[in-house]
Amino acid sequence: MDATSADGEPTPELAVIAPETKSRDGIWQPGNAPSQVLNWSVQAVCKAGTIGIIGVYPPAARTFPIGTAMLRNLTIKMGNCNHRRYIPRLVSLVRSGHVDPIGILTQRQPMTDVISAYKQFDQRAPGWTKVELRPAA
Amino acid sequence: MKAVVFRGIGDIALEEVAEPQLKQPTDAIIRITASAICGTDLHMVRGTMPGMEPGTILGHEAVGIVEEVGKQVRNLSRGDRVVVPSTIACGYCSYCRAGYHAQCDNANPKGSQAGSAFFGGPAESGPFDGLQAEFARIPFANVGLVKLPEEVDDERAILLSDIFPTGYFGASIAEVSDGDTVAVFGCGPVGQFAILSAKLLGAGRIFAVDRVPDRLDMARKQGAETIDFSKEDPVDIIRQQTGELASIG
Repeated sequence: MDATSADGEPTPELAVIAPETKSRDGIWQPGNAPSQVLNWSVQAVCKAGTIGIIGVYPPAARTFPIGTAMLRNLTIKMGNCNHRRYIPRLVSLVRSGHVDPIGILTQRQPMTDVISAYKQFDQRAPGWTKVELRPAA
Repeated sequence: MKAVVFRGIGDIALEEVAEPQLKQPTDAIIRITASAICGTDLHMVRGTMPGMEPGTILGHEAVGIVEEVGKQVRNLSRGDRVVVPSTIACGYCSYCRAGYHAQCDNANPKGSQAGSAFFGGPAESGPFDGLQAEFARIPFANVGLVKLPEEVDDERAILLSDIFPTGYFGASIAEVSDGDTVAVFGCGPVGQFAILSAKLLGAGRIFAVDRVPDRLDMARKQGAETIDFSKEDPVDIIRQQTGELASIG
């Protein structure tokens, strides 16, 4: 999660992780605060607490509030999901009805409308939280 | 077949491309019945995940039907209904066997130190053509596809390809356990599944931070206590709500 730049000028931090951008009319505009949530989380968690970092951080991202984390004895874990480790058990939970995730899927779109769907999702348009694409439709 | 192709930053298109073929005896070809758009795809199009090769098919989420399997795929047959894990893993190296499939030694053609191999990503992730397409080639298909029971329909199964497991992984590495107070920053699709997963792992109380009204509403419907960061400082509110303000402030 990040904040969209109001004036379209990249922050120095953003310029490092995204050397090239092609934003037009506010579409495909990167957020201007790539480390915002890292700063909030190391401050908000309890002392000696644990943070799990998921999301998308390219190799060039090098900003992390190490000093605050150190001061507060935090444990930081992160990474890309090990999907195959979890999927079978989650399939079972959905099959049994123990959890029903359907409320998080908000759009079903034919593949023929995919570019428009990308733009709605890019804008976080109301009702565009999760978009299923149907190749055969 | 039709597929969503990355042509450059800020430039994607639905194009006619060649159908994938088996390359290794461990591959399978699937016909995709459901795909999805992920925030990760936006990072590539916006330029915040650099290194994409033009021509790469985007997308890393799919549900489909097995069309064809290589000779070394011994657990799947044509016609099986499957969900595709977004990261690609061999299933037999020491990392996969320890459950670190995203750090697989063998899946990434760029080498064991290049990072996670996944569908529809930058050059350093393979690259592998993605899943916003009518068909896809799935490497190491014996572990790279998970069979679906008929009770789990496509609309639910597509959520199991990436975003539910990623939210669960997030709650898991944050060490959420019974009674814990949890804060989830970002209430997009993965954040929603982090909330759901924190509940599964026994969280006693969950804060959800975002600024998009319908995403905050969805979090609140899940039982999370919502904080709109465009109106309030989330750090102050969380400290205040957990009795920590006086001791830290």
